[in-house]
Parts: sequence; structure tokens; C-alpha cells
Amino acid sequence: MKSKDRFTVYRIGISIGIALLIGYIIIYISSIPSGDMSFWAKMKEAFDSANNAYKYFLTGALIKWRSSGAAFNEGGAIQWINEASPIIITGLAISMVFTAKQFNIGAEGQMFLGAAIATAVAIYFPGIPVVSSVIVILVAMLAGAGYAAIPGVMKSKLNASELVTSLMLNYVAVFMGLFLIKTFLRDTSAGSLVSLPFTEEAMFPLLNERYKLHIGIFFAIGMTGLIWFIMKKTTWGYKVKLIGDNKNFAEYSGINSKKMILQVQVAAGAVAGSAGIIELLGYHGRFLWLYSPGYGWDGVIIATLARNNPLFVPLAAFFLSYIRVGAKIMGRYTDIAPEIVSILQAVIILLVTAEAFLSKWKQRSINKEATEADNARLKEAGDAV
Amino acid sequence: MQETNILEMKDIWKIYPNGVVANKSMDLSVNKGEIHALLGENGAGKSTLMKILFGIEQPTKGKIFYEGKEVEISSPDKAIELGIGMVHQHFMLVPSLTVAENIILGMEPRKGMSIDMDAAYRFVGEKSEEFGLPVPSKEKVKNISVGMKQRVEIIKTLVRGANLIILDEPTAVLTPQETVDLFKALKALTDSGKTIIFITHKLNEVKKIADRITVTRRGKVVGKAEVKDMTEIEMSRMMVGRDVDIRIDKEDAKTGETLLRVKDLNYIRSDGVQAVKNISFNLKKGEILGIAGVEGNGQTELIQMITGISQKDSGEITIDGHQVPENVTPGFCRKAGLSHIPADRMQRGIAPDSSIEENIISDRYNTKPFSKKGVLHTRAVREFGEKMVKEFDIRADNSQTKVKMLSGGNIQKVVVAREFTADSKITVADQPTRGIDVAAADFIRRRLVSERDEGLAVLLISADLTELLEVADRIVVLYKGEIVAHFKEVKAVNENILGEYMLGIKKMSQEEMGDLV
Repeated sequence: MKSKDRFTVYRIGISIGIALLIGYIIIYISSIPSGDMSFWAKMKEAFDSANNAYKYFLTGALIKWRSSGAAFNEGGAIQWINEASPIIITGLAISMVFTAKQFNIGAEGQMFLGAAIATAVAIYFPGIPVVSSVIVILVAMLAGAGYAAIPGVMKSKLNASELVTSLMLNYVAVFMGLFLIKTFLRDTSAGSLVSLPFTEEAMFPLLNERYKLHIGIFFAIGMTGLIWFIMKKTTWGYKVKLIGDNKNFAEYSGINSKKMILQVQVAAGAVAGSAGIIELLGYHGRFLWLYSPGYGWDGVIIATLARNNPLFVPLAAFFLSYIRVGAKIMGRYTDIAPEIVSILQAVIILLVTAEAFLSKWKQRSINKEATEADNARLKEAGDAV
Repeated sequence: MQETNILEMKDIWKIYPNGVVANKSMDLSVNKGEIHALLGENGAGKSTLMKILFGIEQPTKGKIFYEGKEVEISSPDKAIELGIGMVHQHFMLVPSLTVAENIILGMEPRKGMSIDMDAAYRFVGEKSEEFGLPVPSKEKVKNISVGMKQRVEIIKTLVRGANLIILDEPTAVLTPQETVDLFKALKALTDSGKTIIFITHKLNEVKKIADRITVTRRGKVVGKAEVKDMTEIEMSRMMVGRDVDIRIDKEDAKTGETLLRVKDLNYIRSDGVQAVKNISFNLKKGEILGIAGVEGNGQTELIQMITGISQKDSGEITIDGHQVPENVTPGFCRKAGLSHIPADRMQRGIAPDSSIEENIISDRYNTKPFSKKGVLHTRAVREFGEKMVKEFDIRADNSQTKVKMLSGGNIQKVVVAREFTADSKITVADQPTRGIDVAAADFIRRRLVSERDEGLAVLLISADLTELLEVADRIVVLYKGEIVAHFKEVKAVNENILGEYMLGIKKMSQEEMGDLV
């Protein structure tokens, strides 16, 4: 590995380490008890409870700590996998538009509206095994694509910043989706605002009945393979990459950049559109979101961590979902608020995206490598003469 | 004259973040009151060394002594404070302001809350007289000539108290006549005690004006000498490291049918200036037509219309029989049989974060063998990339190297590799050798000639008159958007004659130009 690639891996590792350390310090400080104790006793107790909290935080998703010993936490592991699935898909969608340097962050709205519209199909479409699920997902994708086309067209025809339009349209999508559910699809017999239940046949088969492990993860992994192929192995993906790299160059080479910019946003919208519905089909069996679950925003974090490489998206998504599940379990067993995870997320993103972080160290290793390579070249030239 | 040392740079190293070693233990010593030429090919590290001196770049290692004291030059402000000024190759002037306003920018004489313009004009008038550099102080900068802009830049550094002035390739943009004026002014400045560092790769200029030289090659200082002790040939050998034969032997052009036809072409820029006026010419199979002109006389607009980057206002362009439509795109022109080496390769010629092979297939990714039914054939792309790297001598680890990791000359070779293998009938080569090393430039010129011999039509736009005279079969001169001269016999022209037309001193009549169309 060249020093530059090695450096990226180190940097992400160190960022995570620093974030965890900051989280630990915050937990430590907030764990210092008040009351009539000696200073050292207070420190000792804070140390013990911070360690205990981190034990749950870092291992809780996989290990159940009982007085009789440690055991595999099946429920936690399944939750980890289930929570990763939708954000893998939004991560892929965002990485597609980011590759083309189109900052369409509308995945949230595309996902929400896609799920709301597909809910109608999942309720009313006659139940046929497999076919129902497939049609529901296709409708969600279509809705996502259609919704993504709005900022896409506004960008390519009017040069309106897709960042602004897609951001604003996210709110529109959430309220439109809720309007649909409230007005047409509401289950009036239920105590809260939820849709009517989906047909049995539309639902995903469960791999684990008790903790509801559903096949959404296979859908997400399959989608990863597909997007990787499209982005890295087809002429379409090649064009998207060139436009992101240098739009002037793409146009000079004869590529219709306006058409491509619209296409990539619509395609990513289709991908994002399927992110929400798979969770409803696999887990809940009806539409039950009262506000946006935030998977689209997670997609932005994941695409950034994965450097827009589809193959790294599942890794980033599994990482994010792991610390979130861990935080929830920590919240259950200790009195530390699980929201601490937001601080960790923020620090990691900050450090990973901060170009200058560790750049001195990077430059030193590059200096060394460049000098060595140069000396080798000189030596070679000397030998030749 | 007593020789006192004004500047000493010792053991300067500069390694860029992408791993390029620009300076390797370079030393430079300049005496007070001399014109010191820093000589070297493009990419030899001379510009980097000067950027370090002017505080634009920080050295990785090394010491600078100015007037006997060790100094740390952390920014251009610091350099100016010390009395070091720099005139860049690309002028840093505000086009919509007047000459005087540009000169006093940041040090305006005030009258209450507003700028005292009378005092400013008086100040600029006095100073330009003092330095012997007359300028039209009330004229807007966008309306003055390139040579005059350069003069304004020099005055700008002088009024800020510069005693040591760095000139980065000052003659690259000048006509021969303007160069003579510049040299006179420089001599006058050194007579009044100023010191000048003159960056160049033109040997005849060094011989004419410099007192001493420092020669650089591949990031190292390879020689220092008194100019009077050296011949141009000795200097060139030192600079390139071997003897170069810069003459290209070529046979007379064997022309065929007309491939590119331009008729009554007009273009009006967004600021209302008519950049191209009624231009007509023909380009035939098997010939190289050169376009000469001072930068900014319509070349850019003309080329952009021919290559489909911008749309014409009126007139006709025909590429190998294909009429160029109103809503033209570069893709249309490429399909019609045109390839294009753009003037600004970083802006338009490459995608920096993509690999060499990805850059080379950008115009043919959707043809066999590179893809089939929309799926890329990675192996064919790689094989072709490796072949191009070898054939065009692109210095890189392999064809997967990102283009941004390459040096300027090698980036240009990537562009040229794509455009020369594009299966086109016409190549528009816009400044194809600008800013690249002598060997790469020579390679590209020879390749242009051999492509011509194989029946390609070449339109060559170049600011380098030697190159035009060397390579082109016919030359037209552009002045203020018009063709003012046409030389059918390149042998009968020289740089001075071209210069007169480029400056608008002379203009050919329709009869003298002969049949352009």
C-alpha cells in the first residue's frame, strides 16, 4: 500500500479512536457523583461507572452481560443488522450523486415519500407471494425517482442549486407523506397515527421470528453489488465519474453533462426510494413514522465515510448502526443517555472530512517516499551511464 | 561596480504534497544591481524557487539571506516589506480600474473619507517619470496592451519599495518590439541600483540582457556563470543536459481537399466586445495552418466556436462537409471528425482524479473494444492505456496512475495521446507546448508534422512564434478579432515581420492576403 492509501485508513482509525476517547471523557465527567465523599472515592466511582457504560456501549450489541457470565446477544445482533439495511441503501444513493459532485441531499424525502406511496400498494394490491413485495418496492423506487427529478430538472434546466431545492423538498415530502397516510390510509382502529396493515404476501419473510430478522439486509447487499457494478463497470458510471471529476472535460469529450446530471439524480432517487419501505415490509408491517426517521441524513454521513465508494458503504453503515445499537443498550443498562452517540458521530465526521487533520504527518511520509524514489531514480540513471 | 551580495538562498528543498520534488538543495546567489537570469526548462524548479523567495510557497528545508541577514519569508506581504517584488506571468491587475487606480490599490492617498484621485494621478505620473516607465495613468487597464500591463505591474512593485524585482518569464507574452522596450527599461532600473531576477528559458534574451546566470535542471542547480563567458550553445547544453537539435526537417505540404471551412464568422462577447470579426479561412488535408497573434485578440473565441464549446453569432463552419448547427456541442464536432488539444489542459483537457487510461478513453468509451452494450471492457481499456503510456512516453508508474500526480509535460502527453489517436481528420492544437519541457514540446511538434504527412489537417494556435515558423505551412495573424495578414510561404517570414502585424502596425490588403478561402 502506498503511503497515501495507508494514510486514509490510519486517519479513519485515529478519528474513531479520538471520538471514542472524547465520548469516554464526557461520560466520565458526567458520572462523577455528588455527595459526601472523598475526592479519590468520587474519581474511583466515576471511573467504574464510565468503564461499565463503555462495556455496554462497545460490546452490548453482540454480548449479553449476565451475572452468570457473558452470552451472545442475538437480539442485539439482529437489531444491528436490521438497522444497517436502510442506511446502506441511502448511503449508496448519496454516494452516486456525490460522485457526480451533485449535492442532492434529498434522499430523506425520496425515502419517506417512496415509503408512503408504496404503503398504499402494500395495503390494497391483491396479495400474491413475492410479486406483491416486488411491486411495492418498484412503486417506492418510482416515487423516489420521480421526486428526485424535481431538483434534477431544476438544476439542469434552470441551474438552480440542487443543494437548496433538495433540502427544502425533504420537508415537503415528509408532510405530503403524512397527509397521504392520515387522509387515505389511516387505520382508525389503532390508537396512534398508523396506516392500515400490509397484506401478508407483501411482507418480507422472516429469518428469525423472535427478533424479526428480515431479508432487507440481502436486498441492501444486493443493491450494493448492483450499484458497484453500475458505477465502476459501465459506461454510464464512467460518465458520472468524469462529470464529477471535471465537468468541462466531460463536455469537451462529447458527454452531454446536463442529461447525465439529471439521470444520476433520478437513478439515485430510485435507490433512495426503496430504503424506507424495506424496513416497513420487513419489520413493522404498516407505515408508522410520525416524523422522518433520518435515514437520508445517515446516508450523507455514510457516503462521506465511505468516500463515495459503493463497496465501503456497507462497512460504514454497519459501523454506524453498531455504535447506535450499542448506545441504546448502554442507555438501557446504565443511566447514560444514548444520545451520546450523536457526539461521537459528529467528531468522527469532522475528523474524517477535515483534510488538514494529520496532514503534516502525511506530508512527512510523502517527503520521505519522494526522496527515496528520487534517489533510486538517480542511482538507476547513474548505473545506466 | 563593487559587487555586493543582496540575496543568498542556500540548500532550498521543496516537496509538494503530491510527492513532486520541485527543488533539490538549490542555491542561488544574486549581486546588487545586476540582472540575474534564472535559466531552465519548464519544470526545472525555477518558478518554485522564486515562489519561495516571494513567500507564496514555503520551503521544505533551506535558508534565505537577504541583505546579509537571515530572513523567513512567510507571505508575499513579508517579501514586499523586505523590498522584494514579483511580476507574475499572469498579470494581477483589475481590468475595470484605471492604471493609476491599479497602482495605488491598497496604498491610496486619502482626502477625508474618499480617495484623492488627483494626488493619485500626480503620484503615478511622478513615479513613472522617475523610473523611466511612462504609462497612461487615466486609461482603464482592460484597454491597454499587454506590454503596457507589464509595465504597470513593474511600477506597482517599485512604488511598494521593491529593490529586488523578480520577473517570471516576462517576454513570453510580448512581441519582439515590446521585448526591446522592456529590456531598455530593465537596464535603466539596474542603473539606478535595482536588482532584477529574470526567469526565462530563452537563451538569446539571456545573452542580450543578463549579467550572470544560474542554470537549473530537474530541480537542481547545474551551473552558475558570467554571461559574457558563455555561448548560447554552451548554455543550452547546460540547461538540457545534452545537445538538442531543435530544427524539424519537414517536406513541403501535400494538400488535398478542404476539410475545415470557416466563413464570415462573428462572435460578440458577453461584455459587448466583438471578439471575432468576419473571419474566413480554409484548412486543407495535409497542411498545418498557424494562427499568430497577441493573446486576447480573438483566438480563444475563434477556437471555442470551431470546437463547439461556444456558439457563433453568425457565419458558417463546416467540418469535413458537416455544417455546424446553431446549438453545437463539442460532441457534434468530435463526431464530425475534429480533435482538439485545448489551451488550458487543467481546465478542460483532463479529469485530474481519474486515471491515465480513463482520461485517454473519454471520447471513445462507448466504442469497441472499450465497451459493449454499456459495460466497460476493463482489460481492453488497460491494454490501450498501457500502450499509450509507452508510445507517448508518459512518465508514470502505470496507466492507472491518477493524472493529477503527473507533471505538466506528462499531463499534456496524456491529452495529446488521446487527441492524436482519436481517428479524426482535423486537429485543433491550441498552445500545445505551453509550459512543458523542451523534450516533450519537441515530441509534440514532430508528431504534429508527422500527422500532417499522414493526411491530417492541423490548425495550430501558438504564442511561441519560433514554434509557428518551425511547424506551420501557412500562417494567418489575428489582430483585434480580424485576420490582418496571411503568409502562404512561411520561409519568407520572420518573427519581426509577424510582430508588426500582431501589434496592428501593419495590415495586409485583401489582394496581398490572396485566396484565404
